[in-house]
Amino acid sequence: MQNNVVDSIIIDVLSASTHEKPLCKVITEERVLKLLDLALGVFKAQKPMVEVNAPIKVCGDIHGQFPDLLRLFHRGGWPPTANYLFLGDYVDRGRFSIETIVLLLAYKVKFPCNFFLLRGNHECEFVNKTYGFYEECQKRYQSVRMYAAFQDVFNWLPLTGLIATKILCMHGGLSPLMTKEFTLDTLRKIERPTEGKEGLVADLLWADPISGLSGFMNNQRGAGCGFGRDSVLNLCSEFQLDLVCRAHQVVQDGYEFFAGRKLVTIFSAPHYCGQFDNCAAFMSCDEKLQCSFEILRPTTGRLEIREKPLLKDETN
Amino acid sequence: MDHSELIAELPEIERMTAQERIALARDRRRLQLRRNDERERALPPPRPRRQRLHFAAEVELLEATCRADYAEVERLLNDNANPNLHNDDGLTPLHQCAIDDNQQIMLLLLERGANVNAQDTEQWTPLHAAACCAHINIVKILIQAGANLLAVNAEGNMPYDICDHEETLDVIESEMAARGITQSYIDEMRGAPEKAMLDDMKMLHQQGRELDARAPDGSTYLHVASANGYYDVAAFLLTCSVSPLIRDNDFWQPVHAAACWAQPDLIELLCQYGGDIHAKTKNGETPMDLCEDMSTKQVISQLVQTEARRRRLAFGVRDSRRQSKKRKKFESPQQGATTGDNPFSARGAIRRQSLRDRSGLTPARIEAQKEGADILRTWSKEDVSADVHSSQGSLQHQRESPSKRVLKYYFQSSQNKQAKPMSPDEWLRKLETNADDDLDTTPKRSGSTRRRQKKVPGDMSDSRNGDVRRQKSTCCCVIC
Repeated sequence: MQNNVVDSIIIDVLSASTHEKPLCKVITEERVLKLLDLALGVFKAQKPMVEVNAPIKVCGDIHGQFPDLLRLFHRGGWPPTANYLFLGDYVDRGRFSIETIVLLLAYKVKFPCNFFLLRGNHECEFVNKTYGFYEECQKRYQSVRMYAAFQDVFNWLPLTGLIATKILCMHGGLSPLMTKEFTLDTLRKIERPTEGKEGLVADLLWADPISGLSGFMNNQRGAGCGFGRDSVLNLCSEFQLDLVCRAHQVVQDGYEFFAGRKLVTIFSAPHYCGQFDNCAAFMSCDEKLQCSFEILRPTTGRLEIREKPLLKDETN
Repeated sequence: MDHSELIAELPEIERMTAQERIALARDRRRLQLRRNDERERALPPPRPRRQRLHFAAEVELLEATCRADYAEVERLLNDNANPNLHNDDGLTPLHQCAIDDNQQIMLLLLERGANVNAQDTEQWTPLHAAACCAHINIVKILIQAGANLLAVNAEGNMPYDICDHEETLDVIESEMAARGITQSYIDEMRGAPEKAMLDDMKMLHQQGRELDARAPDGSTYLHVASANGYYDVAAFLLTCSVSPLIRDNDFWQPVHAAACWAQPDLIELLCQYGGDIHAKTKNGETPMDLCEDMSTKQVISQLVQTEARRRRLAFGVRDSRRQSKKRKKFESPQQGATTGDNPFSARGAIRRQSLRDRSGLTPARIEAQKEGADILRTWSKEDVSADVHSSQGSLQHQRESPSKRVLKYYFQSSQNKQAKPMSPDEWLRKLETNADDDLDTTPKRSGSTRRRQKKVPGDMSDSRNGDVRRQKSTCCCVIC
């Protein structure tokens, strides 16, 4: 029963662009609510810290760019042929937040032990009200009830991930609360549900690395904090971590290092907001913990025809 | 057992029979094994072997070069890292040194066999990057290492075309003169890619092969010629009856490619042969939508007006000017430098990197500032809506600026922060203004020209040929 519901949702959302009917007719509100109920059960059963082994692919912000999410799966491999860990920010800003979050939650329910979703700062109600998700639910489904159900699921999303005990993952970054009397068990014991506005949770969702800074300071975004290179190095040496992996910031090449190669920012929404011409990236970790980055270029219909493959093919 | 106990036991053992001694030994061994099992079980399980995380070689080498970490670059090269590895844009560590003015690491890379003429996906060599950034010492190092002074990038520019710094330009031009490079040779080298394609087209035509064959993405020779500004190639194809309306898989016509890559003379040529200046791509983009270059936009704009005028006449509408005076022949405006360039455009990885370094204006910073302002507005709104007992006047007051309670709660260490958050549009407007200011400090790349007139200083009669014919290695990076 459960698998049939999820399978049909996956099929319908993947073929959404071929339907002539609007999305709310193809995937009805009742089906979405059923999916959210199943997803809530899965997140409650799993811990606030996702602990997994390699091989796995780590992805950054999606922000409702559903066609680009499909490109990402096409490149990295469709679940369950590859394991995935997403670092949050699935909704807001882009035009297809509902398709994006529905597909991701459906994969989570169908493959609960191979597909993982962390929480981002855009999986919070006070952000969704302003940045598009609330408006999209209202406009396409005319349903406050469905929006509220999404918020219930968001409040239960895990906040951190640990890959092969070596890579610590979160959406935003570090916190000054991750210094004294802190262990990784502190992250394992974070209480849910939470609205994500205060303390350690706010920093995990909102913090940013700042070049040249030592220690911590208030973040210019107005939430979370800024942290410096020394904070990253101290955390890594204290807990034998090789890497901190986070998202939260648009970076030109899809990924960017900080503090040597001890922290990496990953962003997976190319041509973000239609304003930036950034690339997207995701990180592939193989069984031996060798990491590489797959780059997805922004496509706005431009031709890449500076090479002349025709001539070579034709004359040979 | 304790040693003294064993000694004390000896007399008794001597009185035992051989059979009894063997049985005793078995008992002792069994006891020994049992104790060892108990001790093993009490110990914590052994720690698994430490698996070490590491990145792909090209990621590590480029990152260390970016950070100007000489020691690590040297260590990586000693571990047999390939100095010619590149990222997705085709950027090599040598390009990165040219952008960052890092002479020390550049010398190390060259010593270890880095290709001095490596080209990125837009055919920029490290010398292009150094010339564009006016890093004069880097230019000298590259020239000394045998850089190709006449390398042509994807926009048809040689390094000296894109150098705006007098002293650096002087170094390049002096070396060109010293190698006996004449203006006619420069023109020949600049036009070499186009000539090669024209020769190929003529050969295909002679062999009776189709001139509108398609690449996997649906593009044709005419698309390639239009994008690159190969006027003679495009003219040849059009006179051989290749249609100017041919579309690729994204519904791009050659006129879209010419507009996107700022080739105004190609746009005019295509329209003369029946191209559609209003054609739309699959995404609904017209040539004007795809064009970023101001002077090319002007050409398109005039062609649009000409087209509109012709359509009015086709419907019988009288043009009063036609009776009064002879129509002036259409003239294209002077081609200026590219302006209004998007600093974060996907075109030109090198330009993007150097611009980012100079201005400190990165996408992340723009987004963070914008979001910070929005969050302030969000919380302010939330606080107002939560206050059910406030009067109308009080509501008005609180909408104009966040209340002190809100400010104090969220900015305890900076109560004097800005009283009124800017709207997102204001932020964008402000950032665009800043971006314009920052752009002024960046050396501008000259627009591509078919025949750039630049005289080589020095004695033109010197016909000595320098060793300039080097094998160009094409970047193997596949763009997806």
